[in-house]
Amino acid sequence: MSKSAMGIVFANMHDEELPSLTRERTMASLPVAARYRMIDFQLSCMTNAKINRVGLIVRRNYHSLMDHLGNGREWDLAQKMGGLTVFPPRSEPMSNDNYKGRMDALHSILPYIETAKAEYVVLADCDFLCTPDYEKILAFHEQTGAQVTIVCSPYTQLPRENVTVKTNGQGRVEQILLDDTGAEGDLQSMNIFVLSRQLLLEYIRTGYSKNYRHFVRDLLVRDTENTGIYAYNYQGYCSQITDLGGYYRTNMSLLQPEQLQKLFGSEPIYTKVRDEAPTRYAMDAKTGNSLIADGCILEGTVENSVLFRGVRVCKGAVVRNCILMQGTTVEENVCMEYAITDKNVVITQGKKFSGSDSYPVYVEKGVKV
Amino acid sequence: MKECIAMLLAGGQGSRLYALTQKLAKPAVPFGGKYRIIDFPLSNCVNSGIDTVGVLTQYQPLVLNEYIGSGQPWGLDRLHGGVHVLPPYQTATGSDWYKGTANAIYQNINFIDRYHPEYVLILSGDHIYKMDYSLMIEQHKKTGADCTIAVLEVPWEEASRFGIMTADENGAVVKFTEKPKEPDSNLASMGIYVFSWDKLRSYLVADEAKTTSSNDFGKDIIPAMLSDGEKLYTYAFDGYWKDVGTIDSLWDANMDLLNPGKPLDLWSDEWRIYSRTPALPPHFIDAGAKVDNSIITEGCRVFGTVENSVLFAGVEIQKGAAVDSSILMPGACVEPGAVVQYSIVAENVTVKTGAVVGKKPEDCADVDEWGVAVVGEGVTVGASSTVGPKAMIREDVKEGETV
Repeated sequence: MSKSAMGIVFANMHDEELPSLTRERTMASLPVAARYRMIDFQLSCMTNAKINRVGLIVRRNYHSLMDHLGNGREWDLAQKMGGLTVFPPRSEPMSNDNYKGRMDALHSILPYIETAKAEYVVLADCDFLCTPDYEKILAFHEQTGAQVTIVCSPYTQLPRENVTVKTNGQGRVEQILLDDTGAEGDLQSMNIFVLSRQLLLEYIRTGYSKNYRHFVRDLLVRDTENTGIYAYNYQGYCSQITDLGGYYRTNMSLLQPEQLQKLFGSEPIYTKVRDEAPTRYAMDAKTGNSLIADGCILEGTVENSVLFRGVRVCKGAVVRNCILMQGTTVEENVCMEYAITDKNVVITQGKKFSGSDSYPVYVEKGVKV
Repeated sequence: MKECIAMLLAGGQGSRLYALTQKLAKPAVPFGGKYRIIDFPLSNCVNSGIDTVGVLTQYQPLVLNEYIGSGQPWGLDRLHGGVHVLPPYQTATGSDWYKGTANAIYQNINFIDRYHPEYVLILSGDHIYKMDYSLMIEQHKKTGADCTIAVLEVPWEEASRFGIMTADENGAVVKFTEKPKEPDSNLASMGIYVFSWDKLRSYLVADEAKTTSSNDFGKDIIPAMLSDGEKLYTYAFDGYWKDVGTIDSLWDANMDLLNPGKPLDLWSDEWRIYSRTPALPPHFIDAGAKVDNSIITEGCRVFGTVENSVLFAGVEIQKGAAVDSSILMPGACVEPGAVVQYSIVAENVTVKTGAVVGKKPEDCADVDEWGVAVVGEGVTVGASSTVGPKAMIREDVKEGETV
């Protein structure tokens, strides 16, 4: 068993990639996979690996996230020693903007990291839907004697402004490529890093004094050669959410039973309990190839779709290739295809609309169509 | 100091549920896709504003204890009060099992006294219903009663199965008869009582002193109060209420959830029933599956046909399997080509390829032949075997066997 680790999760990194879906929420609180939010996967994987001191850095739009997390009890992170700590932005008296980059944010929680007792720190963003096994990753980190381990995966799609790495074939990173649109690297970074707490503290102090703001660009890339950086080749379910199309594809990929198994197969994924009743299928409801959460009442036809908690599909309605978020109501005789409805959307009687596979229609939170 | 606390009698074996209660107390029996029976009285308490509940356990308490835990799923992990599991315990003068419902409360007089309540609500853990106890307590206060008993109008022809209350025009109880042959009222006791604590306390002490007493609320305490001329009132309840103490009634109550008339609505927001839920992914319905008039919850994977059934968490219905009018408890698996109909299948049962469990009433030559088949916890029903109607299976069924 490896030495202990703590986690630091960045809630807002990559928000700008999904402007419509993150207008009122963070990347971390983005609803995904019919009953979860992106952060559930990170927090659950940390808890499952006994990482029970987790700091969460939020920058803006974090009301929905705070509401979701509460005191962290549902992830077993309500603990006397450690547990979940949420860090809202620290507003500097002399500055009218909050965090500029990852290093600045880390500097603002310096005492939290200094007073921790953990040997290692796991830094993670929330833009990859994945279930990394941190016990294995920490063991890899120790075995290789790495100073920094970057959790990587084979390309899931053509990288978009993404970080990739070239390795020597044995996991040692020889080159880090920023904005590697040409896919020259061997593996893509999943924006998850493991390093010792002492090294992180050094990085934070150096970064602060030299005005380095970006962890990868200003610290890792600058000295790749002299730093023992290793890439951990993660083989589990992995999908990066970079835009609305990617969001759609990620959810839809879970309709393949082997992908669903890959994501949920090993350890439990926790989320906020909402005390919904089970889903009720009425007489003559038709359902096929769909992933459905609790609390739904289905009277119409649902095919190739992902339904979040408390969705209602009334008689005669047809829903195909759609993602319907929590509390969506589809009234009688609606026909909709290739649509994403945000929370509490109402599609009124008889409406017909459709997007396409590559360009799904998005209906904003609370809108009545 | 609490105005009212609840005492929930959860020690019953539920012997008429046979294989389902071999390792479980009746209140822990799964119900309605994601609940256990005890979720209903516990949620009713919380929704009625009662934040202190003593749960009296005795028979097979392990699952129940673990399930209740800190009481957090019901919001009963309170700084003052909350839920407390109360098993029988040893004292300086000896120890005793709970001899009857009244004795169970008697043995916990000290627990109740710690909260100095005005009123004590006595509940049982074997009924499915939604009820606002605060209205009943309100009536108890208004009438100045010593005891208020919740009653339900039942069909006259069924009245002789219940404890029947005869009341005057103001609702005051004039007579109580346990299972009368010729009932003169159709108001059945629901086993829900509100007592003024001082009064109940003295009757419990007096009852304990009687060596001939069976220490039971219905048989001893209520008759004693009546004959002493204490003020007993009925509280009329007209919602859905179902005793799920038998295989047939448990099956019926689950089927009631599928009734489009929704006699019991679990989906409305206003009176939620809370439960402890496992962390499982959403359920998946395959392209080749057929689901009709059923209730399905998290962790289920359906590749076959499911009709008129209730599936609990993590149930798997494989390709070509058919499930009809059945209740499948957590973790059950029905393999390809197997048929489960008119059955209750307990936790972690595997029904192997080609097996047939249960029988449709219309396929039974004789009406008396038909009944719900029950397969107990952890049993494997072997490939191509047949489990007949009314069967009560506690051990594995071998391949090809007919039971």
